[in-house]
Amino acid sequence: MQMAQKQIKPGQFFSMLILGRLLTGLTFDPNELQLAASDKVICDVLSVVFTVILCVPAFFYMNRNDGLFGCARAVSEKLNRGIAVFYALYFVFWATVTVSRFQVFATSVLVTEIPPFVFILIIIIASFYAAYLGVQALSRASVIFLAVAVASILFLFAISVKFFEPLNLSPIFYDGYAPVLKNAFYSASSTAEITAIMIYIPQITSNVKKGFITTVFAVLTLTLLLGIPTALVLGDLLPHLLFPEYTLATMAEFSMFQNMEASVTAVWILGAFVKTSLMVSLALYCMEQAFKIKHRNLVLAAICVAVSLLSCIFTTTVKGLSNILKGQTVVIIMLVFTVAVPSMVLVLKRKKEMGQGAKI
Amino acid sequence: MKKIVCAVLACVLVTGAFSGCRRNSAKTDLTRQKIVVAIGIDTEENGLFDLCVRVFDASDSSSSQGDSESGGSTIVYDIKGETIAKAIANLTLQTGDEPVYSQNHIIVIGESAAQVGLEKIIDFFVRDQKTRLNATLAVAKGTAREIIKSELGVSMPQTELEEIIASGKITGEVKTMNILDVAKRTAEATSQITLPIIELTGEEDEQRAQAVGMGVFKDGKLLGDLDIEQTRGVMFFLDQYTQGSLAVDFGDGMATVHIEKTKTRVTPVLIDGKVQYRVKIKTDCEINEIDRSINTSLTDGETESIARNVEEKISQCVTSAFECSTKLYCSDILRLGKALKLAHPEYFRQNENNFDEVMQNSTVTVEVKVTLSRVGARA
Repeated sequence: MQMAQKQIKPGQFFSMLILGRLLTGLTFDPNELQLAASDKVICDVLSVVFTVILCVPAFFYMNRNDGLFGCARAVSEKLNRGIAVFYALYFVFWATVTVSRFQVFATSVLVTEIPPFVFILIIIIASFYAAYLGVQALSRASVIFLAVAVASILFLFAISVKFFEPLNLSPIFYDGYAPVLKNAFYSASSTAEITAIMIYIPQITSNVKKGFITTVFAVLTLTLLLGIPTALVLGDLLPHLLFPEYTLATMAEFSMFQNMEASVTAVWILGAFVKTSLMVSLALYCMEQAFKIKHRNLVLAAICVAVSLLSCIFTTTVKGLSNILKGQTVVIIMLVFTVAVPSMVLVLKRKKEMGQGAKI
Repeated sequence: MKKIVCAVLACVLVTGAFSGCRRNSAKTDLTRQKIVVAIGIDTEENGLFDLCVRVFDASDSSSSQGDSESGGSTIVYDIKGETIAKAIANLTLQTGDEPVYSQNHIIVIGESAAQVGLEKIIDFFVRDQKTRLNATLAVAKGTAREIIKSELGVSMPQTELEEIIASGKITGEVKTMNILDVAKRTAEATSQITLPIIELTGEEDEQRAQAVGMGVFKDGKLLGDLDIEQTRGVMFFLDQYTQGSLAVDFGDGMATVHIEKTKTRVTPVLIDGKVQYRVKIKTDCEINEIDRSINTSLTDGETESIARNVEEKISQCVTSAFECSTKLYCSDILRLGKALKLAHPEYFRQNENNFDEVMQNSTVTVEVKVTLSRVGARA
């Protein structure tokens, strides 16, 4: 199923990215650096700011219509193929991380009796089907999913208000600036959605910049709506919890509704599904750019099998996922795929254009 | 073909969704579920945890008579183990079924276990994903077993206990803490835990449970208790007093006021290297009862006198709670360290390790502003 030109509406596309970024925030595990309540909120805000900074190369692509692969192809077909394979691996990595994080969440707090691979299998099958239908269908569904997520977050915020205690906050930067900045940068580095913008630009129907700005504000607002109650309710316990937002939801009750964690779980599942599907779709798209693929569904199945196997390996032990997601590793991967390679492609294309201009 | 595949898948999914109706499955058959509704925790001299667990017996729920010894449709089990998790797992040895403790709302800790330390007890309830973080905790005067086993003259003693512990929202005299609150206090650098104390009163056949104050902990261990007045003071200090009644002598008899709304603000101030906690309390009250002839109206001076006496009484409660916690028990149950950390982070950092000394040398000033919003239906 080849993707037709200009078929994704910006609103639908960015709904998909907001959900993916929201899931990153929910499942972000800072490993070594534990932040106090107030610092965590500041970290969440700074994380969005850093994400915008990391989007600088993507801004340049927003001014063009050819996207990353279009630019690479203009330089040379070999470069385009090399980059496409490189990025396919990158998206397989993030699909694996997303599935693994969801699996850790599901088997830690949802159902411990079900074997871990069952969760991996369920989400992979769903993602396979979504990627089979195409990113357009996924982005359309994301609008509805995002509405559900926003409603859940607003509801959680409203029913958490009665538990707010200002004394639960902590002095700002009590342990210094460094841990907050580091954590914010690590969190921002987990935003694989930035590369999705550079790759899918040729398929988006209208103004990407406007959609991007709206997305930044939406992510910031949703992050604060989750972060502020978490800090004000959980206080100093927050750094000791694996999934603080879920813990907050288990406390929230409204009238006869006593299990509000179900709403957070729904957001989690929808976010994990959308992000995994997007990453798998992107990996497939990259493969289509690199090679002339006759059996698209076979390649898609191979990607899904790879993601499943890697997820099973990463989540075998408690430390498995943390080891591959060390802060520095993620930052390096992010800088290479979001800043270095796209900038290099732009520079090479500019050079080639200048060279052609000089010849004329 | 696509439609056939979808139809088959739909059938499989629907069949799977209704699998809860299967008989003889311990996981899904409601009548075979052992639903834990209250847990009592004591310790033995050899360090073993001695748990008394009240379990809802669904198989008996349809019975009109029930088991007179086990309190209608609940049964009490005694179980032991080296840890809480092991003891609860041992329940299966007596019932044959895996216990479901996600519906447990109350945990009573015996005096012996409270003196051993809460940290050993609380970890299971925070870590295990099946437990409820909003289950309330209480300390038993005596053993927890006595409280859990007592029928309290009602068909659902666990609900009665839960309501007694939660009565602080109505009376302002019982300070409720749930598992999450305890975990939060434990995570704070200096804060300590308090739990309501439950005592059994009356003869064996007509026993009733009653909240009689608040247990004060330090480093997870029970040190002593605060009376009802001091408990009220703690709740005012922590801005947790929602409503309650106070009786004061206004010079011409007794007046009872109902406190409807309270707002407390605590500001730590550094004076000559020592900390002074300035407490400002604003409260709205309504007069409930006046101890005098019904034909006599209240003068402005008298209402003013009632308000001043209420202010004095609240101030005494808060001061008494402060003095008792900081000087007698040297336990930061008022979250003084956390307030100091927020207001003066550098001072707190320098004195975190000797905060007990800082606390003992600290003073308190209490400023109460009472507004009598109503005088009842009489003039």
